[in-house]
Amino acid sequence: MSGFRATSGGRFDRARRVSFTFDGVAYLGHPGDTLASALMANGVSLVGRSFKYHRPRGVLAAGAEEPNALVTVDRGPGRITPNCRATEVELFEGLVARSQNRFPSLGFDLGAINSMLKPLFPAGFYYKTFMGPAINGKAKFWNRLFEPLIRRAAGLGAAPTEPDPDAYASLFAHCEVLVVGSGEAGLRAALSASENPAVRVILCEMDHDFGGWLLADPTGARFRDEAIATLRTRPNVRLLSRTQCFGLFLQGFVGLVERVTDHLADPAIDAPRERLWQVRAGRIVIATGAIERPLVFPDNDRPGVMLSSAAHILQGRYGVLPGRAIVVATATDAAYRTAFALADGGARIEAILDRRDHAGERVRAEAEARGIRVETGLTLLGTTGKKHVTGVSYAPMQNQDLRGPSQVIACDTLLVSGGFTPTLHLLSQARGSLRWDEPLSAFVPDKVPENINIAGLASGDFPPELRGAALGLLPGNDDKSALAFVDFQNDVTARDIRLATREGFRSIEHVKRYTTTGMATDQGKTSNINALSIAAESLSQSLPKTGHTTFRMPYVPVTFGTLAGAYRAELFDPIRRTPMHDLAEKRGAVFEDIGLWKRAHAFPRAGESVKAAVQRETRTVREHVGIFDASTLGKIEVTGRDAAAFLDRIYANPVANLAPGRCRYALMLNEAGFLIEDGIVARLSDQRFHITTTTGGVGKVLHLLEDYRQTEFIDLDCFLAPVTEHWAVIAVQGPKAREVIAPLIEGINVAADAMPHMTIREGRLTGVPCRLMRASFTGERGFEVNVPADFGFFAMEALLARAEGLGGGLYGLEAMHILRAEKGYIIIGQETDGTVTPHDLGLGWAMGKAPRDFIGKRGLARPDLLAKGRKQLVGLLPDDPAVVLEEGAQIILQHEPSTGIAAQGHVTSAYFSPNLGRGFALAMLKDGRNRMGEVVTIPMPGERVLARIVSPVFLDPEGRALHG
Amino acid sequence: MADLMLTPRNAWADLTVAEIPGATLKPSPTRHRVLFQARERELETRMKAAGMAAPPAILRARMMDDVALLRPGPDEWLIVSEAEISPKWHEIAGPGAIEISHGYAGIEWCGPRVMLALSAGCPLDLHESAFPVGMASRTLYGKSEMLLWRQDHARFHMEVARSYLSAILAFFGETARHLPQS
Repeated sequence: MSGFRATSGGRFDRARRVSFTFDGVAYLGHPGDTLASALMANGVSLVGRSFKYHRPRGVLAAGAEEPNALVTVDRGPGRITPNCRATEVELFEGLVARSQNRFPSLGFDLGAINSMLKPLFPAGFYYKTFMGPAINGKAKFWNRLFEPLIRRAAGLGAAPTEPDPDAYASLFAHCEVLVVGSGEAGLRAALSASENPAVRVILCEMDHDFGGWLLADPTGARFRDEAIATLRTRPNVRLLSRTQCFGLFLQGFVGLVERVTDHLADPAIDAPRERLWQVRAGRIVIATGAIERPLVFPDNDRPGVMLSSAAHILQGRYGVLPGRAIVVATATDAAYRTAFALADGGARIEAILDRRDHAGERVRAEAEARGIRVETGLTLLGTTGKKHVTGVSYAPMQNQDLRGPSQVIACDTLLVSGGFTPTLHLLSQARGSLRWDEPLSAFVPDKVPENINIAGLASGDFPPELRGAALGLLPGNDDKSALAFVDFQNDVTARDIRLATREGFRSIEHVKRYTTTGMATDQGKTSNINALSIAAESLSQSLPKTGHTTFRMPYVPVTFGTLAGAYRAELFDPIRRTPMHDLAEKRGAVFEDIGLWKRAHAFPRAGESVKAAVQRETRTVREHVGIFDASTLGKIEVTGRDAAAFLDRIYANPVANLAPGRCRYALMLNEAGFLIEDGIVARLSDQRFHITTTTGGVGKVLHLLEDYRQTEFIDLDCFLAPVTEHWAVIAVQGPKAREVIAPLIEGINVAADAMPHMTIREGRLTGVPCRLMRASFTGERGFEVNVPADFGFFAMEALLARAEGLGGGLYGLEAMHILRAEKGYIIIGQETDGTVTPHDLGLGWAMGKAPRDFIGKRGLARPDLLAKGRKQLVGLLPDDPAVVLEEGAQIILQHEPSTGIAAQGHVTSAYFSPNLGRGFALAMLKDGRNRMGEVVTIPMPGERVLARIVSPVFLDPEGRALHG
Repeated sequence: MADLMLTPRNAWADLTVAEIPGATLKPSPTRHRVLFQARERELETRMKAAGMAAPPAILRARMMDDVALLRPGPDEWLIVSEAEISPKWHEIAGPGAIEISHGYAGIEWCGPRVMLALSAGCPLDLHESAFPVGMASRTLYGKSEMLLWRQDHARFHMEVARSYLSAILAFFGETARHLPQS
């Protein structure tokens, strides 16, 4: 034996060595080791400090359930991962790991003073103590002083500060059977399911090797090796190691995360760090085994105290002995087996201390044969030692009373076994239910969804030696100052749980939140049953009546990187560009994101600010002509015998009476009568319509129309399709608009009388098909040129060349916004917010007078929509023409408002207009149309602005510029 | 000015073929697309009258003469073609048909690893037992909507809305590097 490593046994690469550092000290281990096994082989037992009291802690468990040995693994800048369980971190050459939650060092931690002040730190301590003082009703001390300090002292590791340079992959997969866990039960399930080659099987295992318990058991190794070999030959089987099943969702949808490169010293440059598997499984077999519980007694958390099963795995799998002089404290026969295995491995078993009055016949006989001292019918009273256990004290019990003086046995390791808990987090996530099994002293599956099977230990099918339990705080330990830990990760003691029940928390969910037991990344893996048991006892009720808390996803932490996958930076969302995007870019466009689209905000020239460019573009349109890329505008084509009747029901405006070749500005309401969308309805022919929607609204409108077409208006024969991207749209707006297009258009008479405002014609633009719409969102004479998208770029180039020859130019989205606001044209989502009716906007005229039915008509008749005092669209002119109000600012009628006065409206759009030579705004104001000429107050940051209420149409109210 | 003829610039302009060992994405030569609605029975009659075979079943596609006829919905049909769609097909599509040629781009996916590459972004089960040759369905690739048609064991045709093409190529470029071996 060198250090604590036995000379034989284990399943690791004994021939090769790898070097690693822990807290800056270099050690050697072997490929196949975990950080925990390698540290223990090197005799390192102090691996962390506890969350609240900064108590020294060692390795308690063997896998994902490890609550103590949380370390930071440092793979370089941006690759620092806190809170890795040392029992899961695979060793590789050059691994750099650090302990956490200590200052200045693990051995000497100033925070450990909390341990001496422990009477001050009961559950709820922070809530109670750091309440005040409050200043102006705000807990300033808490926010600025107490909370940051407490967080620094109590944090679990530190969040990385640099961006994560790693790549994270993602894959969808489908299978008939997914097996979670590759212990004996999981292997058997996978073998039997995959016998049929048509059944696709995925077997996932969170460990780096398959086999579960079999890996630690020489007698199980042969079955394990043969099973894996067989599964590997089957093409219908996918074996995923290092893969955690973290979430079970509806209809067999399962989230797996595979660790791809974290265990490699030198991963390929292109290799992802982790891979998310989104699996749709016909059937899910949960074969996740069971987790051993610690015993709850004072000072049960010293380094050197370890779960018996963990020691068994340490020895069987890694050939490492946890110590040399071992005491085993147990309530099960399983720990006897551990003791025998460790004795075979060369450790001295000082004693087996059995909580029970009688151990199993066979293990007792074997202990006797081996000459191991066995004490039964006792309780544990504490441990001695400081940074490592040096002894354990116990006393014999009769019923619930001590029946003799306490005794101490010296040891360097105490193994504990308080019984086993089936691992049913996934069942809980899948909305299965659990039932308390009294003989087993465990929650076992009760109602299991029909697509799920539970196999092996997880099902509660325990072999006799795993039965038996010591629940809650061991008797004889009522000293209130003692710390008997229940939840090691969250530093929750038996005392805390009793306190919570004394303070009136009766629901186990409340006890959990008050004490933090079973919270956070640990999710109560080792602590839940003990905590429940203590709560039940304090409440003098049965454990099943106390119930259990809900296990939250994920089973162990999942990186944000894995959840984000490829969806970050440029790939976060698809970036949509119009066919003319490159032209805009060439002309110096500054883009803004509108939904997924990149749209040109403005076209600043060399040396020109964006603001100045917007003002220039706005003037250009009013004085000459502007060219605008309107391709993102939603477009839907509606055809069929009843297309007109269909749209007539959809829109608040009458559509059926629209003549072919004509357009109409139309409003779409929801059933409650509120305006949700606007656009132009253009009738191309008797049975064909071209309708436009807002850029962001087309998807919603399309679904709405399809919904009504398929489910409500099934008497109507019509068809619709999105054509947004088939047509590129170039808006030509301004007094010279006709001059720009006329020479390029063929087959359409664009003269004022032949093609008046709000008409549509089909013809050609320099040889390519074109739908030409006479429409305006600027208040100027305007055309919207629709050409098939492949021609959009060159059509816009041709139109721009014409426009520039006439003193015009490109304009962007911001200029468009100013131009439309000057005319009082609304934008859905800006002037409207889902509570605005056409009447509120002064658009009641659009609905016509003829009696007809349409979506929202009944809603509009509701008394509250007809009542006086609704907010109405108005214009605002600040007294100071240089002021531009803030959009969203509140409007108050009083000029010297006192505190608590309610706002009467809000500003919806505000700009500086070069055409008006001043700032102006649109607003929604209660009873606004009756308040024309009044002056209102708008509170703005640092000042109050006075503004006069005016008509929302600031320019050309007669609409002369539109026509002609 | 009428002599000025506009040059087409399709969705693939400035975009290039994307490739990893075992999977290639390239522009499909399909240029023409017409969407129409018809009851199956009614369409079958029209096609029979024109001397053609029966239309495909729901979520299936069929090559017919020089065009492909896809059926993405119960009464929704899509004609996709390299050449200009002939008057015969316009007749079959009927007066309510809607032209969407320029609104979409076609991508050809081929190679032994395309199924795996698609699985990085497509939630459908693409195993041949679930998505056989000839099947065509609207679905997702990454966050982009698309229509996927399996033309052969290792060959797919993808129809995507024009502005999503670059996002799809970029998503492939990022995810295809990270595929598992099988």
